[in-house]
Amino acid sequence: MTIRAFLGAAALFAAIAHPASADYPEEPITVVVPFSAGGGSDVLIRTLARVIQEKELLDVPLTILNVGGAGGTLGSRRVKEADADGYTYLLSHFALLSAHATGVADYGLDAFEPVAQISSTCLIYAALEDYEHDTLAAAFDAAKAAPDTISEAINIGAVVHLTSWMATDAYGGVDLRYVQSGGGAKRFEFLYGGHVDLAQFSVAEFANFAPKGLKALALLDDQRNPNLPDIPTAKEQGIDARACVSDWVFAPKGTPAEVTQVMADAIATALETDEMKAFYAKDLRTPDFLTGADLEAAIQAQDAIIREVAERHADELK
Amino acid sequence: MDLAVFLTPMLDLGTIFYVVLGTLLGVVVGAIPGLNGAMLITLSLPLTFYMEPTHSIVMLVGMYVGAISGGAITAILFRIPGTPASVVTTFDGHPMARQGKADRAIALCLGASLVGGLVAGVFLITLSAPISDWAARLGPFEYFSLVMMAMVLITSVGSGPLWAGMLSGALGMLAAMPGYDPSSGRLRLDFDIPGLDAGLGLLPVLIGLFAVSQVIGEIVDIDRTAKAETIAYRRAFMRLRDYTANAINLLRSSLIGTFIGILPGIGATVGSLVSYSVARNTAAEPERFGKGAEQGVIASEAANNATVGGALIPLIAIGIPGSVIDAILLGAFVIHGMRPGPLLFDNNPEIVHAVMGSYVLACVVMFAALSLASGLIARLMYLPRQAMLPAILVFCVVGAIAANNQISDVWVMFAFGLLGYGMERVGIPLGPFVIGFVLTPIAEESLRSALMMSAGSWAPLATRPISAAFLAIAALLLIAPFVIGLLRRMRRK
Amino acid sequence: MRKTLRPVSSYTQVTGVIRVGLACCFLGLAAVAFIGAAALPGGIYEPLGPGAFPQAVACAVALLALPLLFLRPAPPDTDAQAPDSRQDLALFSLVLTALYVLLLTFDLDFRPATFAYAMMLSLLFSGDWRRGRNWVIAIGLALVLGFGVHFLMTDVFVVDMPG
Repeated sequence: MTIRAFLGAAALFAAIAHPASADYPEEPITVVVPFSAGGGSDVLIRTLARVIQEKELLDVPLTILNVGGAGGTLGSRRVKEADADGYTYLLSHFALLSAHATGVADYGLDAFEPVAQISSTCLIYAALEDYEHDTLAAAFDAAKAAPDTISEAINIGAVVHLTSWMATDAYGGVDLRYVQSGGGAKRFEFLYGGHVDLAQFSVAEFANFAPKGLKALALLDDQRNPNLPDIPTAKEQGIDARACVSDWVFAPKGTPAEVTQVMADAIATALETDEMKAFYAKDLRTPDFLTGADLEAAIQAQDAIIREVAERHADELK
Repeated sequence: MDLAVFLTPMLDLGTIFYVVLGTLLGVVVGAIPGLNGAMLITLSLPLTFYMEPTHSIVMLVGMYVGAISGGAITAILFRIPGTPASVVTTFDGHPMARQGKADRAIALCLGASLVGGLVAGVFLITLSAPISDWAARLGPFEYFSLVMMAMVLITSVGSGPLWAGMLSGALGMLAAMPGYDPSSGRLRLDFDIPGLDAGLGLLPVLIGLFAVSQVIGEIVDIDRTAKAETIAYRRAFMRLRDYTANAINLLRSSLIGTFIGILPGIGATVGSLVSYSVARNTAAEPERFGKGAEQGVIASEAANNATVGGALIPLIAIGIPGSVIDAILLGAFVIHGMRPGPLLFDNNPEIVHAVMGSYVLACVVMFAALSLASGLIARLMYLPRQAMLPAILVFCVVGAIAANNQISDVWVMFAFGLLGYGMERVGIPLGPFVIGFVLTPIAEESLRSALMMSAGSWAPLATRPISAAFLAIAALLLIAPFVIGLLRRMRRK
Repeated sequence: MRKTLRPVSSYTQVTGVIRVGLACCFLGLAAVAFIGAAALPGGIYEPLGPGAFPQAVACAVALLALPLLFLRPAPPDTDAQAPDSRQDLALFSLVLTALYVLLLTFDLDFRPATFAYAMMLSLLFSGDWRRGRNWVIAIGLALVLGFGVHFLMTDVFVVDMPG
């Protein structure tokens, strides 16, 4: 049996069990993930899609399509150019906004309709356990006293690069030595090998790598994380920076609101299930569901912060 | 280390079933040009939701192992690298097939794959924690020196004058330049050509260079080559004698493959390239390489299979994926509520043991399945050309489209097909091209990261001990051929 | 068909043309890459920047392509083989292939395009399009490649094919 036939049979079964009231959805829905399979966002949307299928929250199959490459722009461009009929969605986050702000993509938020926010995870500044400073403020103090001596592993033009600027700017300007390394696992390698002093990780990444001898200097959030209550926030240390990555579902611009509403409702219901709650707990994610005007406002606010930071550091982004 | 714990999960019939299923699917998909292991594993990911965690992970590991070996079949028969890692197998595997020794080439390939897999498996089971710890500490300076060492081998792969080999390597480097630069992610040299912004894809370039160019050659020679000969079915197993005669090569290549697999981000292609070059440089008759040398097939296949096991080591032990497929596997772990890394050994030891056991089992299954089928597979080679050539071309097109969902990749593939044909016809070897193409982005990224780390100073290249050691070996490799030549001439006098 | 499409020129001569053509092509590409890379900005956090590697590589290619203009890397072809070679056939298949890819680029459905392409190639390579047996092979092959492969890719591997 082929996959489609299998999914088709499942959909047929779902349709019998749940006669569709509205016209939408009638055909399979594709969610494009603009990163390669296996990453944090990819696993999240796949788990969500499974729950939606299992609970028959949508009457059609939900296919996840990974279109990785070019910092996520290959995938987002594909959705941007897709028909605005509610059968193609994009899963993205911070990277969509930063790609626009840094000039990697010539379109941003304006090309999409936000549908739902499904999760948030904030970033943690970490160092090796025997690192001489215990807080981010102390490390920044040292860097201020001796510029270009404290190094941080970053991914140029990507999320952690911008969030590092957010933190250093909130402190009042520090000259860190940036070292290109790449994604979370790569940053861990650079930190672990003693090639850099600092690196940022998502909460889940930090929890995973911590047993190899990492300590947290600060959580870039307003409040402490209930899962890791011992980690102080940057705000407590006098650095008022919040850097969280929220996963959003988008539809192409012009997709009717009543169509995206169906999707948003399905996601909202799925997030309430025990399966999703268990997944969030294991992955140390915050189920931060938003939709409609709240979502619009949240994304706009995030976009404004990103643009501001990118503008301030335009000379480093040429 | 108690071996029994690795065997226990293997006593479960369900686990065995899924390892076998995964391996067989992997072999089939790897052997179909245009399909590869990453596609199969991504595709199977949603299905594994409904399976037990152990079963789903061991099935994916089986697919990983199977696909690498399956890719070697098309590499030998049609010079189509089923996966990028099998491109080195084409160097000698395909000439062997053209000499009517396709079954022998496949037998060597399978035997070498088995040995490579088992050697890497031993490391995976016994030493995964300390080795990956050591590997994770290598920094950008060490990576750059290591890559330089591998690049020196450019000068030795392929026949013909030195400058032709170097030209080929430089062209490969040039082809790696367009797209997002590997360090700062800045778009460069795309000249506003759609499709070029993502760079030239590895698979379209390799399929074009090797498979399409081969088809063009066959069309030109269509009246000249002998009619399809009927071959008697011969035993497609490596004999004990073959194993003992090639023991050193097998072991060395497996170790090289394991080592390179452990280094995150280097990959199976480099593993087989390096071990092939070393085999060639140490062979009694290096000039036979590229014309159907059995040692070449053995070196390539032992190494690329060993890299799979090698790459699993840092994935399991510290949660660092060494390749694209490993990153997908990492996702599969997370989907089932586990995260590979230091905690996995404590929290889910049964999964760790199952992964290790299933890796070894998958190698054996792959060997058995392909050995039984190899006689039949080798006959594909003798299909009439009016059926085979169009089929290869269409599969190449499909493979290029499927690699990145981009139609522009088909143009890239045919352009490189023409280039490859032209280069071979005038006598420029293709091997060094691959080395330059694959290694340059790693070299550039690590060098630029290294310079960021040292605030622009190049000195650590020579002062950091491991980096200095790699550079010293590179220098030795560079001088060795001249010194050996000199010594030989002196002895003759 | 065979009589009308005889080899057009000596194999060795064509090889020479290819060699000089490739050398010029490499020199041109090196120049384009060098000029393109020169326009790139310097590095932000390190001295090299995005342009240094492409420039160095372009220089290497240019330097190594020069000998190709004048020297043969391989011993000359033996002319004994030349009369048999079918460069005309290769050229014809190339044109056919270019047409096929062009159709796919403009999003013509993969199935009919591949059917036609595979059938024509198969007849071309069979050497004698008047034989019924060759038509059977060609049509069977074209069906498998056009429709079978399309089904395999879209319905099993969920890869979008043109069309």
